[in-house]
Amino acid sequence: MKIMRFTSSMRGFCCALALLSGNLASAQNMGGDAIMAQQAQPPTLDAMTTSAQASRNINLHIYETLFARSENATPIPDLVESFTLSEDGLTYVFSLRQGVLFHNGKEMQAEDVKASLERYAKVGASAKIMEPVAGIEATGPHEVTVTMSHVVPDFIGQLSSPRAPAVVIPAEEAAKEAGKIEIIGTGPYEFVEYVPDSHVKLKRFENYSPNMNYTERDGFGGRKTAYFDTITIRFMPEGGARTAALQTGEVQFLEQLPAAAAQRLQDNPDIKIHEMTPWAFQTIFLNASQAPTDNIKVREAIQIALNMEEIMAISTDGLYRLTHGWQHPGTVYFAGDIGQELYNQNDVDRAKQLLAEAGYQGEELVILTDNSFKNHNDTAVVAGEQLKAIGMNVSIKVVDWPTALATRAKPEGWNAWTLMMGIEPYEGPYGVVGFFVGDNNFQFEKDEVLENEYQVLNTSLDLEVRKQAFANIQKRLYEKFYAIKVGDVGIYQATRSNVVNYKPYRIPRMWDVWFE
Amino acid sequence: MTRYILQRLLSAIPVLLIVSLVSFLIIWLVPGDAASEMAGPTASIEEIERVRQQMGLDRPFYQQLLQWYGQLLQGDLGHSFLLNRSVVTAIAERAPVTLSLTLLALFIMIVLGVSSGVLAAVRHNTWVDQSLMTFALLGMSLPDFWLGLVLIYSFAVLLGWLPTGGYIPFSEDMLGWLRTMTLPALTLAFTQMGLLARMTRSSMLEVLRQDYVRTARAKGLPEWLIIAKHAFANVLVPVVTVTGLSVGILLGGAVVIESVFSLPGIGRLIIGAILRRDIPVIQGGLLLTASAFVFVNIIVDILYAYLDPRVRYEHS
Amino acid sequence: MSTVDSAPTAVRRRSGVWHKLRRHRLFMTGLVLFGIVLLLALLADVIVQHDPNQNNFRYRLGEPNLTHWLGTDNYGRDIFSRIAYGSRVSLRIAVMVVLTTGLLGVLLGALAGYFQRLDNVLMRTMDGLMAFPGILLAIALAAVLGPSEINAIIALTIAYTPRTARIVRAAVLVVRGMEYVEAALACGASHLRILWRHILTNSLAPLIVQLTFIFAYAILAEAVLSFIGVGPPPPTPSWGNIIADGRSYIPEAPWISLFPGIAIALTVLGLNLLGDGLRDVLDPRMQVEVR
Repeated sequence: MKIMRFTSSMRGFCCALALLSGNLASAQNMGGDAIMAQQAQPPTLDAMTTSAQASRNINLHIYETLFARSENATPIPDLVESFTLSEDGLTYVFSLRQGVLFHNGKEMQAEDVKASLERYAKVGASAKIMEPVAGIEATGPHEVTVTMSHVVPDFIGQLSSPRAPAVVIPAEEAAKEAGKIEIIGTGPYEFVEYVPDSHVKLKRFENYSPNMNYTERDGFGGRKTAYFDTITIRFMPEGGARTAALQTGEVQFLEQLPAAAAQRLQDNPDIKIHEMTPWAFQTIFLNASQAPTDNIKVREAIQIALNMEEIMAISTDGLYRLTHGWQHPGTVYFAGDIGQELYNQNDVDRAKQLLAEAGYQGEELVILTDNSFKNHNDTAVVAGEQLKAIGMNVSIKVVDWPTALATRAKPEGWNAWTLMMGIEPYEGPYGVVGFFVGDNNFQFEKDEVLENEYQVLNTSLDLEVRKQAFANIQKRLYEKFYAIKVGDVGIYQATRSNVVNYKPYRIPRMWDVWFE
Repeated sequence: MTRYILQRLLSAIPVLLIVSLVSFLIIWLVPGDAASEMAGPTASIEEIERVRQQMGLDRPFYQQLLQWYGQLLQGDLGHSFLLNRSVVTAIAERAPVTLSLTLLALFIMIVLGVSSGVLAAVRHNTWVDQSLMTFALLGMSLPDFWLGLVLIYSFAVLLGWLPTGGYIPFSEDMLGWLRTMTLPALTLAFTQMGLLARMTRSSMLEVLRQDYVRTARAKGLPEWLIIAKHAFANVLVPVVTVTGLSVGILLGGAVVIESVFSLPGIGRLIIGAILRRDIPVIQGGLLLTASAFVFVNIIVDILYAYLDPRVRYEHS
Repeated sequence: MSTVDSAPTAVRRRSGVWHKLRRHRLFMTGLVLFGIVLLLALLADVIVQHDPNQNNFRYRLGEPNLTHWLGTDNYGRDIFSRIAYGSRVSLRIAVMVVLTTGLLGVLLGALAGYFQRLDNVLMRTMDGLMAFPGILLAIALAAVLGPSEINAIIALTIAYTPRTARIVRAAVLVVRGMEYVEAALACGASHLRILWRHILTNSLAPLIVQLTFIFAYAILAEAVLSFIGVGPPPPTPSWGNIIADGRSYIPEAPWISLFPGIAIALTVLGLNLLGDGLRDVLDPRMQVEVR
C-alpha cells in the first residue's frame, strides 16, 4: 500500500510536472511586432463618430467602453466596476473601476466619463441612443449617475455596442469637435502613427490596467493582456495581395481571408484558418414606394423567385448558411420557423403567376448595388439573372458605396438594394428592426404593425414580451416583403501558424495572443 | 535663352487657368457626398446630416468657387475632411511614392528603350531589329493593369520572389524599397518603352545615313566608336521628347498601377478620393498632376531648345 | 474655277494606297488580327454555345475544358462566351469614341486652324484638357457621370478630342497657306466650301492615322474604366469587367483574367500595326502620337 501511495503521489507529481512543462511550452511570450492586413483604411480614429469596420478593427485596441460585449455578444461591464438600476428603470449609477490610466498617464475619472457620454450625444454615430438620457452627473470621483426620461430596456446593450463605440476619452479631448481629438484611450495598445493609404501603428500601453474582475478575455471585454510590442494595421485594398502577404509571412493576421483562398490554403502548414459563421446577414431591401416594387405582389414574386442557395454559394464563395430568420439561431430573440415556408422557394411558375396577378407590364426593376463590397455586387448580379428568368426587366446600377448609400436614402431611383448587415444582427434585434421603422425606414412605407411591435421592444421590461414582439416583427416582414433575407454569410479570419491562442471575433483581437 | 524661358513660362499661365477651372468644375458635378462615407456603412440619415453640417459641405456653389481661387493664390489646396489634414500635406506625404515610382519607371524605360532602339538601328532589318520592334509594339498594346496582375501572379504568387504589393520607403530600407518598386515600375516602363525604342531607332537610322557618319566609316573608325560619338548624341533629342510626353502617361498609369500594387501614392490618393467623394483631394490631386505635366513640358521644351538651337530662333 | 478643281485632293492620291498597303507586311498582320476580333464580334451568336450571363454555381471557377474552352468564372459563366460578347461591347464603345472624337476633333481643329480669332481660345482650352493625363481625366469624368456605356463614351471622347483637334488644326494650318486655297478664296468660294472641299480632304491622312490609334487607346481605356468600376455595369461582359471579376481569383483561377487580357492585347496590337502601316503609306513624315 505504501508503494501504491508513493506511486500515486509520484503520478501526481509527474502530472504536476507535465502540467508545469505544458504551461512552460505554451507560455505566453511578450514581444514581437504583429502586422495585420485589412482592406480599407479607417475614415477616422475618432471612435465615437464612425461605424466603419475599418475603424473598429483599430479603435477597439485603443479605446474601451463602460460596457463591452462578451464572446456571445451579451453586455458585460468593462470600465464599469458595478452598476445599479433603480426600481423605476430610470436611474443608472455606474461605479467606475479605479486606477485605470489613459495613455496620457492621467487616471480615468467620473468627469471623463461624463464628458465622453455628453460628446457621444453630440457627435456619436449612434447618438440617438443618448436621446432618452435626461442627465449625466459625476456623483463621485469614480461614480457617474445617468438619469433617463423614459425606460429603455436595452440601454446597457446600446452602450456596450462596438458598432460606433461609446468610448471613454479624457475630458479635455471630449471638448473637441469630431475628428479633431488626440487619439487617447484606456485600451491595451496606444496610438503611434496613422500614415494614410499605408498603415496605422500602435504600441503596447505599458501602464494598461487590465480588468481583474475576469480571468481571461471575453469578447471585447474581460481581462485583456497585450503581448506584442507593436501592432501595425496595413491597408491593402487588393484581396489577392492580402492573401499573398499572409502566405509569405509579410503579415501575420488577416481581417478576412477570401473563401476561395481559404479552400486553396487549408492544408498550408504555415497558416491557421479560423471560421466565423455566422458573420452577417445577406439581405435585399425592396423599395415599397417605387413602381414596380410598390406592389406587394411584385415583392412577393421576388421572394418566391429567388434561389437563395445559388446567390449565397456564389456571393460567399461557398461559406454560408441558409437561414430565413432575422436573428441568428441560438440567440435570445431567434423566432423559430416563422417565414420558413416562403424562404428559398425558387418557384418560377408561382413567381410568374404572382407577377401576372400584380399586373406587371415589364416596368424596369432597378437593383442598386456597389462595387466596394463583393458580396453586394455578386448578390445583385445573381438575383438579377434569377429575376430576368421570371420575366422582369432588370437593370443593375453599380455605384461606389457612398453613392449607393445616398441613392438608397431617396425614395426614387431604386427598387432593390443589396446589403450585408454584420454588426446589427450581432447587436441583437434593435439594429435589425431599426431599418424598418420610424420616419426614415428603408422600405419607404411606414408599417403600423412594425411600429407598434418596435415600441413594445423598446419599452417592455419583460424579456418574454419583447421576444414575442420580435417574433411578430419577423412574421410581418414575411407578409409585407420589405426586405429579403437571403442567408447567413460566414467569413474566415486567418493567422500565421506561429500565432498562439487566437480566436476569431468581430475584429481580429490582438490581445491575449502571442508569437510562438 | 532667358527670353525663351520667360516666354515659355508666360504661355503656361492660360493653360494653368484652364486646368484649375476644369479641376474645380469636374468636382462640382460629383454626385454623392463625403458625409455618408464619414458616418460609416450603415449610418442613418440623421447621422449623415450631422456629419455634413460639422464638415461644412452645405455651402452654395459660387462661395465654394471664390474660396477655391482665394486659397489657390495662397498655395492652399484646402482641407481633406476624410484624411483630417490639408490637401497639400496629404499630397506631400504620398509624393515620395509616386515620384520614386515614376523616376524608377522612367529610368527603366530609358535604359531599355534607348538600348533596344540603338540595337535595332545598328542591326537594321535583321531578326534582332524585327523582334525588338515587335516587342516594343507589344508593350504598347498591353493593358498596364493587366500586365501588373500577370507580373504579380508570376513573380509574387508562383515564384514568390517579390512581394505582391505594399511600400517600403527608400529612406527606411533601400533593398526593401527596390523589392516593392520593381514590379510596378517594370509594368509602367514596359508599356511606355515601346515609343522611346521606336523613336530612338528612327533617329539613329537617320543619323547613320548622314554623310559625316559615312566619312567616319570610310576613315576606318571602329563601328562602336562611331555609334558612341556621333549617333548617340542625337538620341538625346528623342529621349527628352518622349520623357516629356511620358510623364503625363506615367502619372496616369500610376493611378491604376498604384492600386493594383497597393502603393500609397498620389494616384491611389486621387482614385480613393474620387470613390470616397473627398472633394478637396480630387481637386488638388487633378490640379497638381496637370500642373506637374505642364511644368515638366516647359523644362522639356527648354532642354530641347538647348539641345537644338533652331527651336529658340523659330519661336522668337 | 479650273485652278480649284485641279487641286491635289486625297481621292487622287488614294489610287496607289491600297496597293502599297497590301505589300506592307505589318499592316496586313494587323488587318488579320483585327479581322479576327471583328469576326468574333459579328459572329458571337453563332460561335458561342453558352449564354454569357448564365450563372451556374455548380461549375464555379472551372478550368478550361472541352465544354468551356477558356474555363468558367466565379459565377460559373463561360469565359469564352463572355469574351466573344465582350468584343462587341469593347468595339462598340471604341467605334463610338472614334466617331465622336473624329467629328468633334475635325470641328474644333478646323475652326481653330481656319479662324485665327478662335484659335487661341480653343487651343488653350485643348492644352488645358491635355495637361491632365488622359486616363485620369476619363476616370474622373466617368465617375462623375456614373458608370454606363454611354458615359464611358462621353468620358473618353472628352479625354481624346483635344489630341485629334490638335492634329486637324496642324494639318489645316499647313494646307491653309497653300496657293490653291488662297486662289479659291480669291475666286469667292465660301469658307465652308473651302473648309470642306480642300482643307478637310487634305487633313484626312493624318486624321485617319490618329483615329486608328485612338481606336486602340479607347479599347485600352475602356478596359481601365471597367476595371476600376466606372465602365459599363455588370453583368455586361466587357473585357475590363471580366478581368476585374477574375482579379480576386487570380491564384485559384488565373484563366478568368488572363484570356480577356490577351484578347485586348491582340486587338490593340492589330490596331497599332494598322496605324503604323497607314502612317507609313499615307503620311510618312508624321510623328508618333501618344495616348
